[in-house]
Amino acid sequence: MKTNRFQFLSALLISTAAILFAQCSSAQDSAKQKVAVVVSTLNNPWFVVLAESAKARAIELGYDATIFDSQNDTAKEASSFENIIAGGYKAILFNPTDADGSVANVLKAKKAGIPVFCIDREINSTNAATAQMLSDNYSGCVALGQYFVKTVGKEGKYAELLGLVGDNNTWNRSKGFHSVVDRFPGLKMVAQQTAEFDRAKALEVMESILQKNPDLDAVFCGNDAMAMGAYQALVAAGKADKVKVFGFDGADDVVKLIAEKKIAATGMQFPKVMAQKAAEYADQYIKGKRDFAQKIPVKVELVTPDNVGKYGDYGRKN
Amino acid sequence: MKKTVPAIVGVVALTVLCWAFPPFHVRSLKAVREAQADQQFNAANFAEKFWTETLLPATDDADDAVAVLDRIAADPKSVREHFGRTVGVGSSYYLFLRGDGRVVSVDENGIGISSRPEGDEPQIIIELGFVFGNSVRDATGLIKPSTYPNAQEFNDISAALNSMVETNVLPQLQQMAKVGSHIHFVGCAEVGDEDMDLKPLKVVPIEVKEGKR
Repeated sequence: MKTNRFQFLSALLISTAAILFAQCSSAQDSAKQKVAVVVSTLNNPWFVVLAESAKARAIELGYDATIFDSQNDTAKEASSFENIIAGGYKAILFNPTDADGSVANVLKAKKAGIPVFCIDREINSTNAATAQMLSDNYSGCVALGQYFVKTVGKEGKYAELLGLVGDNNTWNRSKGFHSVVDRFPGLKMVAQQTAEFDRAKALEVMESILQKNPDLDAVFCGNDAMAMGAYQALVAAGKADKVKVFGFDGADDVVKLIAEKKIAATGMQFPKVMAQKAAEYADQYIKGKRDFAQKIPVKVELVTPDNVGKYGDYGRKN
Repeated sequence: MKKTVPAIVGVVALTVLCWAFPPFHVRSLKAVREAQADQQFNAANFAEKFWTETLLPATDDADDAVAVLDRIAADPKSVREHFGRTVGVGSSYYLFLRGDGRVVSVDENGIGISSRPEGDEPQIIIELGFVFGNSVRDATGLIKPSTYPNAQEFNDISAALNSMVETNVLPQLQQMAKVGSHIHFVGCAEVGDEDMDLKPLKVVPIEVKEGKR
């Protein structure tokens, strides 16, 4: 009888302790502050790296982090912002879909007291986001343009595949490239079409460009996903050896093809660096810091067959 | 008659109301377009004003070219720490320097300058031809990216300043560049990373004149 009572009391004590421990642990979890990562699209490996790096750094810094995919749609982005504001998030690490269209979302978050840190893409406002960590696309494409002239020559026919027309990065890249190439009248642009930063669309657009312009010498693509699509179209047309492909981003598959001398060059952005810094800035804000520079350009580096050994895994090799 | 008076009063009241608070304004399309153009950022105008009112008066703040060249000779990896200006995050940095030198080489690509009294090896190359990049905009630290709501405006400033170098400075430099002549220069340079070969250092000039012998 005594043994039964002892067993009953022991079991009661153990279960009480277990319940208390579980409650305590759950209280600690619920005390974790939340950080949102809103990304323009997850349909491109580069942006997956950007979002996952931001999330991972936020978690390292002790936050609960959730990724919201805007699917390149400002309406979806707006809906995510409403959920984030209602959900009590403490900061937003934000890769905008549209330089103008995304400003209203950032202002909503600001009004709700939630700081927004833009990553990679900017918004056309200097008083909405807390800070904007932006790839220096223009300068990166100036360097690409100079390399383009060096490798293609001062005469030839080329095509340009543009990204999303509402995104500032599209035009910063294009303008940087043209600020160099347009100085050489012998270089003729025979086609300029958008493929919306999308590999499958780039494949289709490039096929159509090649039908009309079989004597193309080069193609400049506003990102590496489009460079891969363009390269795929060139391989299918048997012209991969003749037409030089230039990309932008520093995606792993393109860096590998540069090492194999199948793609001419790309501009290495540093998605991990940008995302991690943005998470660190959010942490500093939550802990009380307020004086952030509004725009922080992040240098883009030219990757060519000559220096490709220095690069990989979306950045410089250590 | 009883019905006419209130109708007239109503029409008069409505006319006065419309006159005081017009429901719409008619403006010519040309005037609207001109007003929009006035509001748009004009990089060329900005660059011209910046050049004369801010950049040229700041040339006294440029680092001594001999000190920079000595540091390059002694320890190139420490140049950034002593003289470099970094914009944002990245491995590159900018230099803003001034000095006197002897022209040791002239060809279609550039003019070689040495600060040493003897020897024909250029320590600095001032490139002729097209000017690209952001060294003129960024080397002085006088123009901040955060001031501009749109990166395109910030980039347009670079292009406009580079164009001013091509138009205002390079022709003057070409005229005075003869091997053996001495020139005084103020210029900007971009260094890609610590591994970049700085011998010679490539400089974009913003001011050149005959130098001391």
